[in-house]
Amino acid sequence: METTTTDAIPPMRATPSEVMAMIKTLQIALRAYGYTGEIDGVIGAETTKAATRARYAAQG
Amino acid sequence: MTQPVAIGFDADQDCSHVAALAVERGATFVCRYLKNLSVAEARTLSAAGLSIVSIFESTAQRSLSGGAGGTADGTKALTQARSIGQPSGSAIYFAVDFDATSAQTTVVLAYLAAARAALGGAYKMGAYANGAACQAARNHQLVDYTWLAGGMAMRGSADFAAAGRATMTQDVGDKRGLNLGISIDSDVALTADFGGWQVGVATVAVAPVQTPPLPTHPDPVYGAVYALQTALSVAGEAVGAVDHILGPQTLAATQSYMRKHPLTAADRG
Repeated sequence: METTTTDAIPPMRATPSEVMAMIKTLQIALRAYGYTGEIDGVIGAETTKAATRARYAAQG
Repeated sequence: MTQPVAIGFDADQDCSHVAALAVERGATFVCRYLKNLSVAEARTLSAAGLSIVSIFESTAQRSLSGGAGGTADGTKALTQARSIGQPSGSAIYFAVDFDATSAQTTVVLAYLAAARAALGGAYKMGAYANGAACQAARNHQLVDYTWLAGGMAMRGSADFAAAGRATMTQDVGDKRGLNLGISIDSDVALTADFGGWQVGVATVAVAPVQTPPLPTHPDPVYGAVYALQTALSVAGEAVGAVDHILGPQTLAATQSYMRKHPLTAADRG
């Protein structure tokens, strides 16, 4: 593989649809922690609750 | 440095015709790009006795696209791996194919986190990078395997290798003298489990990993939150610490972002 050295390059900004895709990915992952809401890319109370459960599960 | 467990090589071309020769000369694995690895080649390599190590790379500096690129690439890697029959539980190494600086670390980690989240636990996560990026990815629990790119000359590589934390190391050129008649870099596996696979085999070389085990965490939730926080931070939203925790600040930052950048009907699909 080619190897190159670069100067610092500003990170690419995510588009709204890409952010929505990230949230959908998160919602799918949260199914394992009881998230039963829609995979809609919008963070609401259900998403937040499941994320909190995941956080406490991680802390054992 | 940890002693080699296995010798292999990486190449950016079909290696079917050199598989038997490679085995004869002591290679036990071959690292191949998912983008140009066919089912037929995977079968040939496996039949010859080689383990395959999957690499995902589009361009050398793709990881500088951060979370957005990581989500897209992780999704693509998942599709490609499944299409060639790569068994679940084996690894895909995402390439950070340049000597990333400390200023670039955060965005590289966001890329890896998002790629990992997109894999959804179907495959283990590897990073091909310099030692500093591998160390940071380990510290943030984003990778299961690390592969030091381009010898020991890059940032942090010598220290990372000396600490015995690398899964694999790459030589610059065919330093192991495999002489296969094609352009290769030789590689060394430092642990018996490096995420390799063979067609029709569930897992390959499963053995106790010599590197310290990763703490248990709810991956891929962990990576998904990290990617989201980083994307929001880059967009100028106040997420607070990028800490993998979906708390009130991250929630407020997400809502703020969505107010400023409303989705179109096309975005909503």
